[in-house]
Amino acid sequence: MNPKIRSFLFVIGTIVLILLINYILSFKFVRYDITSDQRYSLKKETIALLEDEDKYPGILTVKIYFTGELPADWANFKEEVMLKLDEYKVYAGSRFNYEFVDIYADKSTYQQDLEYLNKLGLKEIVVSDFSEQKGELTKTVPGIVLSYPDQEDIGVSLLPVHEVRYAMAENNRDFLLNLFLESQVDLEYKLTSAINRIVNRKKKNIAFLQGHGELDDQETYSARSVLGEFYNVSDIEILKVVKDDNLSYENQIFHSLDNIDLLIIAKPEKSFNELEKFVLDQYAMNGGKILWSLDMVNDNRDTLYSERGSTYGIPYENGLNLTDQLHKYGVRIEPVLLLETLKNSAPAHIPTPNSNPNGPPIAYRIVDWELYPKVLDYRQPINGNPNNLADQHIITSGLAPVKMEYASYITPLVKKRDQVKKSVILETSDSTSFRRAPVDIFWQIIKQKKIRDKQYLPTAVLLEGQFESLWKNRLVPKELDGQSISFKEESVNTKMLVISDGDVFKNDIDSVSKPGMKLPVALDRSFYAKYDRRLSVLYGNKDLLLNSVEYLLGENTVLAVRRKFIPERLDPVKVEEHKAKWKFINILLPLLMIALLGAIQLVIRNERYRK
Amino acid sequence: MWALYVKEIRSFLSSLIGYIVIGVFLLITGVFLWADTSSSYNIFESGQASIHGLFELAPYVFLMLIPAITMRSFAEEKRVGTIEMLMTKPLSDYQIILAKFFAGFTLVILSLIPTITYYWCIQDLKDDLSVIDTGRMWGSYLGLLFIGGAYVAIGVFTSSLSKNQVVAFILTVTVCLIFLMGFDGLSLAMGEEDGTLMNLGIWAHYYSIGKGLIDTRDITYFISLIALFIVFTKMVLASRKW
Repeated sequence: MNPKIRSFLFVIGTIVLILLINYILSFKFVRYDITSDQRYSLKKETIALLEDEDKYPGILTVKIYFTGELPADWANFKEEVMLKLDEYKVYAGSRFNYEFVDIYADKSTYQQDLEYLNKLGLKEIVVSDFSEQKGELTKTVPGIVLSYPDQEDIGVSLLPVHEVRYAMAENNRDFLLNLFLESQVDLEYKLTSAINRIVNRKKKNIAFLQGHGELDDQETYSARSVLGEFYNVSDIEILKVVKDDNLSYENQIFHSLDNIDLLIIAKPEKSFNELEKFVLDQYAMNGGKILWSLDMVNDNRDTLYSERGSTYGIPYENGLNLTDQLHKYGVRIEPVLLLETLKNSAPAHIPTPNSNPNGPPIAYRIVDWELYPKVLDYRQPINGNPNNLADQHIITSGLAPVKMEYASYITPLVKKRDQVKKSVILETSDSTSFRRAPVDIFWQIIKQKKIRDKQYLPTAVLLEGQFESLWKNRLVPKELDGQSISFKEESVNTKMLVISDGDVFKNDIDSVSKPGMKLPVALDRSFYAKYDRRLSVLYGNKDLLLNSVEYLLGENTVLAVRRKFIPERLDPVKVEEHKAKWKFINILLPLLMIALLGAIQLVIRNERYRK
Repeated sequence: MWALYVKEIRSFLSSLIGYIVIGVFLLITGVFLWADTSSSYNIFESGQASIHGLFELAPYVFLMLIPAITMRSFAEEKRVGTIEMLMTKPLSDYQIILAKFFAGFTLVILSLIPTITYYWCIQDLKDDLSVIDTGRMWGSYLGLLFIGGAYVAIGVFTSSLSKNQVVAFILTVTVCLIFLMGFDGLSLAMGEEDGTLMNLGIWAHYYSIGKGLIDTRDITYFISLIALFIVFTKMVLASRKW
């Protein structure tokens, strides 16, 4: 054969062969997760849930609404979703099926389908593909719906729809790709938590205690919406019960918390009376879970933002009348205000004297406010840090720093024959100081000299075990005298979590961006993030809430698969200190290495010539 | 083949061109990542303990520098006439091509090794609680090696097309650009749906490896791309005998 033709045929053959190999291998491929946290691989808790035929006996159907002719980037993300679903199927087998539903196929039912999806929290999105000609636009619903026998359907949104819309409106492809990547990492958590929810028969009840000036609806908006996805969330006031003719008023009060699985007590400002305390005590003795989020010092912060520009922190009278009760359960919350180092403080708007003599006397400035400590579980074993020995607690491991406002610290009490295990799950940094109340709160407090000799002060303590009732060997409150109530002097095995800050689950309120409106800010965001990019820190408060609630309610599967926050930050202090040195090294050292290579080569060559 | 490979490497290292190319690469990345505070790649400004900027920047810097390495491989031999000598050696065409390919690829590796100081730097300056995702970093390095390899293969091919080094240089840049951005651009402009065009481009595969998920499909892609241009080069060399 003519070599020309042979050569040509060979090349054609090679191209065909290579394309064929690529085509075949695109079906038979393997992937290796080389990330340090194995973020793309299923966790053992997910696998355990999928394999558990007792907990998850029925057939789960996944309807995928994420259909349509999607642009390449979207198609790639969809492929990731499908791969993840296939992985789930490997473990759940025939109890896990998925199917595609195209709501756009049938125009007559489209509206109805969309309403159904909206009700499940799934939104339609118009996909634009960054091309010049925006002719036909594809619509899709980036979500799936889980169905399970005898259960209500659950919608799972696969993408943060608002942010995706924003990325498309801004024509920002990098941002969009980043959203896809983040969503890919979040898939396991979303799917597993949804499956865990749908196979569990009953939604648990969480209530916010009211009646003592606790955080209101708006201040806990973010917390409520976060919890509302998984639980029934309500408010309860012990002394205000619905009238029931069969029981006496007092007896109803006694039973007012009976249906509640978890009670959140967030920042009460008025004292509890004996009857309420007794009800709380017996609720706990019967296995009810309590999440205490308490301030022992009234920071009077309204006054700080008045014309005065300063205020006082004053201890609540008799510690909200809760001191003896908490003492009995094993902790004391100190009437102090913590002062963190600047590095570990959250930003706040603080009134300072105006440097402009013509302006108003007070100017508001965003400063790192030492009274807003960012706390963590410091027990993570970190190379080279001898202080971090034990493992972090499952509630707080991998949590972003938790922001507190005017917080105090907790002293865990050691008692004889103690049946309660106490674990510190959040603590301050290694150079903390505090002020005993009453204390002046004004801008100069951050300028004042202080001795930072306190280390790792506990700000959240988990109590687990058998508690003793505060009313053991005491007379029950007089209101309940003669009522037929069953008194328990020791609890069943139960848990409570005490946090020495009332604001930890309070969201910021944005009253600036829309005049006349008060918009709650997400619990893990700072209100200031919108105005200053430097401050767009992500706090761990939202995850702390979910993790604590899940832990207290014994739902450890979801807790374990929640995405861990692994910080990847430079230390600004170290950077400032060593920047110049490293700049020098990073530019010159590589060049020197290459020069050295040249020198070695030169020596070798000379040697050879000499021979 | 080994002897030819060593000879190629030696010729890079005994002439200034090899040092200039690697030096310029390290200087550009060094300045963009560490010194130029207005650059979006600047690591101190980003505050992140990650050398992600290197992996975004390097494919573009390579785009200018690798062609400068590879443009000589065959074009120079053709111009000077040493190609005839080379062809009479008891070496197959593939051995000659692979020797030149691996010589160029070695320079790519040499240019990336010193960037390990960047890793030492962020390791030193990260805050105590942070963990550097080294898995992802090595994945990105792997992706970068593959990109470098693909560029070298393209460069060796285009250099076999012409006697003129400048022509070879420009051709290499053009073909590399098509693979780096051309297919993506075309795919986006057409609003392509299944992503076939985009998957022909380098970026999709590079991005995928850089996520820290090593996928055999991406590895197959890069190896195929390199193999394809080596076969093309072989055809061009063979065409001399027609």
